[in-house]
Amino acid sequence: MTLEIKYKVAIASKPRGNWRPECTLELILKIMGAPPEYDRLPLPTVLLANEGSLWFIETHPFYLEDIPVLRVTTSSPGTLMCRGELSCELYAPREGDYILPLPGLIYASPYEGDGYYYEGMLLVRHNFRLAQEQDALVYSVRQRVFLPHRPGENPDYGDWLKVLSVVPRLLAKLWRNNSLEKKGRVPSPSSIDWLWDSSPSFV
Amino acid sequence: MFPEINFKADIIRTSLGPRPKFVLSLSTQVRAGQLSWRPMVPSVVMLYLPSRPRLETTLAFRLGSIPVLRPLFAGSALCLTPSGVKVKFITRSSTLIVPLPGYVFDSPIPGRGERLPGIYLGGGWFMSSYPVDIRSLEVHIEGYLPCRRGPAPAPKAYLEVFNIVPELLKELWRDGLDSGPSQELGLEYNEIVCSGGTIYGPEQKEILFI
Repeated sequence: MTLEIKYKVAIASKPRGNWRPECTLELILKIMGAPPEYDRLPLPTVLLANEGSLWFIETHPFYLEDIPVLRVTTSSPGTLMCRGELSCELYAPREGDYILPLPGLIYASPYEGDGYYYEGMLLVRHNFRLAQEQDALVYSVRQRVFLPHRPGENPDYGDWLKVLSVVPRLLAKLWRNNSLEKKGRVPSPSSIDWLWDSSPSFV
Repeated sequence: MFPEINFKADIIRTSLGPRPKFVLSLSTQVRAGQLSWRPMVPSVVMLYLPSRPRLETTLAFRLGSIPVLRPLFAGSALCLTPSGVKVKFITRSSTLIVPLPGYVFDSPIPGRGERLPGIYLGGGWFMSSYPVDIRSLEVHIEGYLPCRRGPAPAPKAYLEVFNIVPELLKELWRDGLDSGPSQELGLEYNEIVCSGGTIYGPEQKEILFI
């Protein structure tokens, strides 16, 4: 069973003045070669998160290509407010998830001074997806956000691109750590607990 | 492209009291394509002089011979709005104060009214023709100059200060012009992974925008 990761980041040019540049994140994850008897498959996901109660969450910092990343060491009561495609939800990171601190705030509006913001965190978490139909084994997400306004004649957003380039590597890392074969997990097609145990997959 | 400013400052004698009345009015309307860089435009009100806390200021710049001051520390300043309500404004490094040659008052009767030492420009919002921004600005300030029995400054000195308000607004409209366009950046990444390792990739390439 393999996971295909297609990831694309585009930071658009901002016009002269008090504007925020648009940043588009596109992610397509495709599970291939999944055994038909499995009804639930591990699938890493990415969420835009706020710092929230980060201090409650036990993490271990490490560097991936000079970018600091936090690895959640124990599942704890701390939660992160995350933005999905449809709504904002509270998520409790699980052991083994990754939290990627971003260089600054992320906004929902291109207008400086307007729109709600996130405190610059990406939660890369392991998730599960119900595999009732083999066609549904594709997870696709597109986030359109705005990076903070920076003064200067030629504001540089290279640091943002560098940090965001780590995301697919973290997804691959999670996949390797949590794949079913490695953990020796056995599928249980009839158990309803699998449903409640899983987080909403639309995020 | 700057919008057009309609500005008028008058000093008129009234029968209400010996203090001459001054009326300062400013209006401007942003049309499509003007102020596309979204400058921050402050509120324009009269500074009210309470006994405490004292507002400590430093010289920000001069417009002609008129000094424009800036608060030394972040804090708050009491201001008198055109409706006569005292409002506490937060002073920031961007706040500007135009000191008047002497106090002006909000009452025509000597011995009465609040003392107003200057014009306060602070707070505010971004100004442009975009939906979330201020599209028009209307400032109307009325007050009374001191009567000239004693060593009060001539009304002409006040008019000179009032007349720099539109010049100051044009100066403030330059906010944001120093922030230039940023470069387009992009990245594409493809990888196929299994539990044992990577089957294909990781292939990463930066997207070049021309």
